[in-house]
Amino acid sequence: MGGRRTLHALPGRPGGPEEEAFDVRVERLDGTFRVTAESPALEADVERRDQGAWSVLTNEGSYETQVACDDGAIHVLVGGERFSFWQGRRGVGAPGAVKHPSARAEVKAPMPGKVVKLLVAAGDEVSAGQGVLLFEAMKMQNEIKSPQDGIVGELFVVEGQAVETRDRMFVIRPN
Amino acid sequence: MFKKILIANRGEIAVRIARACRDYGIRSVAVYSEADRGSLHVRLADEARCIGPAPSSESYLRSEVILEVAKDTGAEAVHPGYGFLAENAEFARECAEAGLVFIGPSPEAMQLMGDKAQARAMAERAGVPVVPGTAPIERLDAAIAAGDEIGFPLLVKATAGGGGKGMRLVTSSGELADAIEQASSEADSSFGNPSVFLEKFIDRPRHIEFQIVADRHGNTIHLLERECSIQRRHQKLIEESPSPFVDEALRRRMGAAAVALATSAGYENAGTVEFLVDAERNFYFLEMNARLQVEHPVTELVTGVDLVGLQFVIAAGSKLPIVQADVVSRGWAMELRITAEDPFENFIPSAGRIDFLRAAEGPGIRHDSGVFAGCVVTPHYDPLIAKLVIAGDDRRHVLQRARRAVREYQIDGIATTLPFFERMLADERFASGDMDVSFVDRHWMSEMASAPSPRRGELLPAAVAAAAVFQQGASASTVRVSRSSESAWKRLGRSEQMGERF
Repeated sequence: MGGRRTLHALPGRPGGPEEEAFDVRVERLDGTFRVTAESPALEADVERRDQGAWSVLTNEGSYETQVACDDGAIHVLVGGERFSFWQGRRGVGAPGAVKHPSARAEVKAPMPGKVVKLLVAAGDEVSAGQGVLLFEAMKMQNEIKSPQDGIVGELFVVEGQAVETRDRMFVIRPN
Repeated sequence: MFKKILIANRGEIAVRIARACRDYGIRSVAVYSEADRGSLHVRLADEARCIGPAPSSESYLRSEVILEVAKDTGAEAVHPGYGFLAENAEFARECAEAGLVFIGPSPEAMQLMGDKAQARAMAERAGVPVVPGTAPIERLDAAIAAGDEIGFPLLVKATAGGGGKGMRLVTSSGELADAIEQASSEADSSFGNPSVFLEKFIDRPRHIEFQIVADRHGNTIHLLERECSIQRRHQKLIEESPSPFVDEALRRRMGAAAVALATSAGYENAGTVEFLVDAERNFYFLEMNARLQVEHPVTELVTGVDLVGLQFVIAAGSKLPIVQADVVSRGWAMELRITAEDPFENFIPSAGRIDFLRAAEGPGIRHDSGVFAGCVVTPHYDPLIAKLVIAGDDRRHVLQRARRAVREYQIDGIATTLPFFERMLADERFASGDMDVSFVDRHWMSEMASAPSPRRGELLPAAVAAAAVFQQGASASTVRVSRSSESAWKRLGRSEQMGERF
């Protein structure tokens, strides 16, 4: 087991100019993992249990990390800082790198809740990060935002509608 | 003293009350919804009864079912915690009618404090400063005279208002007539009521509150203040006692005002008088919370008083065992509210299974929690999952210890406010005590959440290593995929499983 992989870090905004790639090698040694990279140089031991809070030792220090994945991106929380990574060639397949989207994005309900208010109508032009609807769950209202610039293609929900996790809510088409 | 108490709540506060019951040798009865069968408060109580399905309107808010359980289990008193039925005067009345002691103020005092206009009038009668303002405006010339007396800037507010509709900020007397006209017409079209009034605008106030306790024998004292200026949409995130802004003279004046208000309202048991405080140390009555507060542990750590235990003593009809002179600060305490919300995604709630949890421990740490590794945070209730409370000699000591505690505290599976605290505790403005209620709105999303921390360069290699190993596991079939691979902070976790469960 082991082998070379390329990981891209997203230090700033997804697809931003500060993107960094790491060609890492992972070896397994008796339950711990040895991770090395040459440029930038990296040497680390990762103690990986089945669940949560992996311990990482580098020459600089001892760190506890939490790892989760989401739509192909790997998110690491360490020291209150969140890093996101993806695998592949530079700028390709980067989740969230959608400055010039060519595909439609379908947005689903993140959890069971209720659509309180629609903030846009089908056919409206929206920009990435713009609120599309007001969603209530856990007694709190939050805006569900457009993941990319585009046109609101379809709205599958109406105001007051209860939705379950992963129910389709709306589609953003490229403009 | 009571032999058995029913706890009409859930989560960390129900756990807190169950612990106090055991500390006082009292049996506790928990109630729970179908979603909460596996919850900590059920496990730590002496008895527990299911009171209905997950939605609180079908369980924790059903007073008749809760009273039935109390009767059936032989409980003598009911502790409502905070939220749910805690400030429901009707429930307090029903308890009394059923022969149960409601651990809290009388229904009359609760009703009085629940009505903003009545509470304000009561404060004025008790000589407690309120935000200067007028009654609804009837004549424009009188309004302009009143405006000049209040001083500028001031706010024109709709009597029926809310959400900023029908509200105008007015900076000089000359703009007032126009502003009243505009606000009034906006209020008319928004609420069908053109009535507006004037109120002094308090720029960037602090939120400082006083804990009071009162027995039924005429003794009312305060247990010092708590500063709660670090809040978002009126949800407090960090509270501390004492306040870095309050000097001894201000403490004496505000404490006396809080006690005067509680006394004149005939208040009994524990309560909190909230004030807004401006930069010139003027304070104004905001409201009185007729219940135990979420942030009561900071007061407990600073004064050494067990507030829940004291509530039992008062409700049982005994005299307060302490007088005002006994109340002295023993140092500093700060509470960090760990909620299941993602601070990087505008605090969107994050439900799901907690895969891993290791709380901070060691000197000066108190952890009041309702969760554990393996439990599921459901979307049905308030996202507060635990309170990390830190005590120390002074504020500097507490800040340093809080940084240590937050680094120790690890939760995996859901997003929490821990990274928010990591950054707040590193912020120089916060560390110097320079804060007001707009701090989080002004600085968090726009600046603190997006700015890379100074440690980013140091942390990146560790993050790369963890991501590389994660990916290795995910792509190799012989290595079990970690549970954490299923969880996603941004996407609010494992709701499908919860769907099957409930």
